[in-house]
Amino acid sequence: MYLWDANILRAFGQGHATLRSYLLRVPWSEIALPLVVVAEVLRGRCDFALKATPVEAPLVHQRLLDTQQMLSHFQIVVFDADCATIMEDLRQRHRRRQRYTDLMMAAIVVAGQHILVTRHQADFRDVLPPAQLANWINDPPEASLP
Amino acid sequence: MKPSRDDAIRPACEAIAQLVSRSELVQIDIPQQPQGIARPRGVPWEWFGEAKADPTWDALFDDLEQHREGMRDVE
Repeated sequence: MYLWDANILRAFGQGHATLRSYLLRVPWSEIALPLVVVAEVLRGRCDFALKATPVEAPLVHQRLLDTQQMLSHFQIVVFDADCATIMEDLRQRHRRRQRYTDLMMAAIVVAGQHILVTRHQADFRDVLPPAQLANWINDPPEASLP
Repeated sequence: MKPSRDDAIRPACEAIAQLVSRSELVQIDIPQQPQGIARPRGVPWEWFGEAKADPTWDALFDDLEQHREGMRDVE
C-alpha cells in the first residue's frame, strides 16, 4: 500500500501534474492515508472553523465539510498496537530529535510493510529504508514505479 | 401397480400449467447493486485540483508542518 504524507494530499488538492501521472498508473485501491494525516488535516480545518469570525464562518465551515468529504474517498490506515511497539523501538534506536508525527507514520509504514509517499524523504531517511520511500512529486513515475 | 413415468409427470405438468395461467413475466430494472458486492472505487478525480480555488488550502498545510515541528520527539 502507498501511504501518503500530508504534503502529497496537499499536491492532490492542488492538482499537481506529476502526481496525476502516478494516479493514472497506480490503482486507487493501493493508495491510503495514515489516520495521523487525516487527524492533522481535520484538526487544522476545525481550528479554522472554531476561530472564524461570523462573517468568515459560513465559507470556513463549508471548507471543513468539503475536506471531510474529500477525505472520505481515501482508505485509512490506523496506528494499532503493532505500530506502537515499533514506534517505541524506533524512538530508542534513533536518539536524535525526531518529529513525533513522522515517527508515528514511520511505525505504520514498517508495521504494514507499506511505502511512504512524501516530498520530504530526508525527514524519514533515518527510520525507513529507501525501498519504503517514494516521492510522487519530484520523481517521474517511469523512474519510481516497478 | 407401479405408476408409469407419465403418471408421475402429469401432476407436475398440471401444477405448472395452473401456476403459469395465474402468472405474468415482467422485467424490472434494479437501480442499485445488492449489498455485499463492493463497487470498485477509482480515483476521485472530482476532488483532484479542487483546492486550487481555495486560498486557505496552503495555509492549512503550512500550519500542519509548523505543528509537526513543534512536536519534536525529545528524549
